Amino acid sequence: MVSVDEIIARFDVDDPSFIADPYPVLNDLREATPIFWNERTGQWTLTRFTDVYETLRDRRLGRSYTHLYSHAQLGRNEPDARWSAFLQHEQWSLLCLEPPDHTRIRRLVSKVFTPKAVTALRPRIEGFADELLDHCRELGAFDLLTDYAQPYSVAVICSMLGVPRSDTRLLLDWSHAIVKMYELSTTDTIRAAANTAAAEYIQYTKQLIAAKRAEPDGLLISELVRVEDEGDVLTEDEIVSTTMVLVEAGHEATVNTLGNGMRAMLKHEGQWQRVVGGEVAARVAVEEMLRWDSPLHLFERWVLEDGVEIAGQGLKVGDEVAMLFGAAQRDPRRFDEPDRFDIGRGDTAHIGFGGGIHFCVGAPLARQEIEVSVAGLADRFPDLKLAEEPTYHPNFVIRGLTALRLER
Amino acid sequence: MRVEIDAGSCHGHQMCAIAAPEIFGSDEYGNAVLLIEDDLPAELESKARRAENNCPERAISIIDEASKG
Repeated sequence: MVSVDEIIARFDVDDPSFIADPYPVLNDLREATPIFWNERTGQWTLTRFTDVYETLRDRRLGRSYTHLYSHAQLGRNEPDARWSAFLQHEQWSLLCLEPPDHTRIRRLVSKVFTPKAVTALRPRIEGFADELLDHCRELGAFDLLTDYAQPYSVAVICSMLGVPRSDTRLLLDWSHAIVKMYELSTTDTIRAAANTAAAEYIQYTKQLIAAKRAEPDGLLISELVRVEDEGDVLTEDEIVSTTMVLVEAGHEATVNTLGNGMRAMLKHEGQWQRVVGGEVAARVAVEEMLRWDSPLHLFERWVLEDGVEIAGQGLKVGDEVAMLFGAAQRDPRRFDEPDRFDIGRGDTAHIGFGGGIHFCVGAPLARQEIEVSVAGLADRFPDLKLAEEPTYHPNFVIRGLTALRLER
Repeated sequence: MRVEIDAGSCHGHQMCAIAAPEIFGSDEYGNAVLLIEDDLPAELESKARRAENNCPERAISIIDEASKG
């Protein structure tokens, strides 16, 4: 009989075999226990769909505690001042804010991500996809990530923000360096690189804000500069954080969903043909691509009130709760035959976009971006196949491939 | 069967308006507005369930009054 502790010990984000395929361990963890204490990270960790689903919606927990308590009050260390630019960059990020600031900023941002606004963007998004996929067709063999998904998703988000397309390479590099800070296991080298990138990013965005102030273009950054909401004006720091989180979230997750999802599609015989042949609409395919090999594997909340109990475990104010999305998305209590990649599943009520007030503001956009991509690939490459076995970046939280080389 | 929205919970994600545009609209902040306040026609029941399941805030309730006879 294998003990729970032995299974927890296999949850090792520094183990390459775990990163290559985390699902056997995640499945064992979920079946062994709904919640466990991760000694290495100091987190109560949730494994099952219902607990994750409920916790995402539970307003007694938040994405931050600093609006209510000091670090010292909760017995936590002050953030490391060496990484001040990184801290500054996320200070006003929607992902780190709670009401009322979250409500105020999200309301401004969400206007451009409404289903109606996103539908209006469709022709432009299809234009980006067509241009890049036509180029991939000329190449014959191509890397779906660098030849398509990255330039595509950055072009989309930058066109919404009003960032010049010529600057997208800069943003990609900064974003890649910064998001490594969200891993469970980081080094000072990674932290320093993220901090430098954040400093450059802040500098760049401040110049952009000045340019938009001088010459408004009606796009999101320009609108955030201009907007006065109930007498409230966004500060420059708030605009900087808001812009950056949209770039980071707006492409890292989309790229990884496309990469992870198309890998799964092509490794499961017959699934791509179901899309190419029209049996499964691209719009439907998106949902299984989001579920089966999640681009985000862990998301945290902090307990803000007394009396919270999750999966039978009493928690106290300041406790950090980590939700294992990859384990939850394969929970047999919620999904029939959860390990089976069924492109026609079409279940939209998964937790791929989170839940509660931090539910992905870009969900309608992301769904449309992926749908357009899958449809564009199916039109051009009915016989698409893997040119080589892809490998994953050595990261657990943000799960994505180093490359996805395809051929027809 | 009819639908209720808890306005205090709604945060304007608009997933209901995507899942069931016949039943849900949205106000200027994106918050859900019920378009059909009476009993739902039978053909919209599965869409209503889908909207309920897709709500990030659990702000949608489906009231099944059939049991009242």
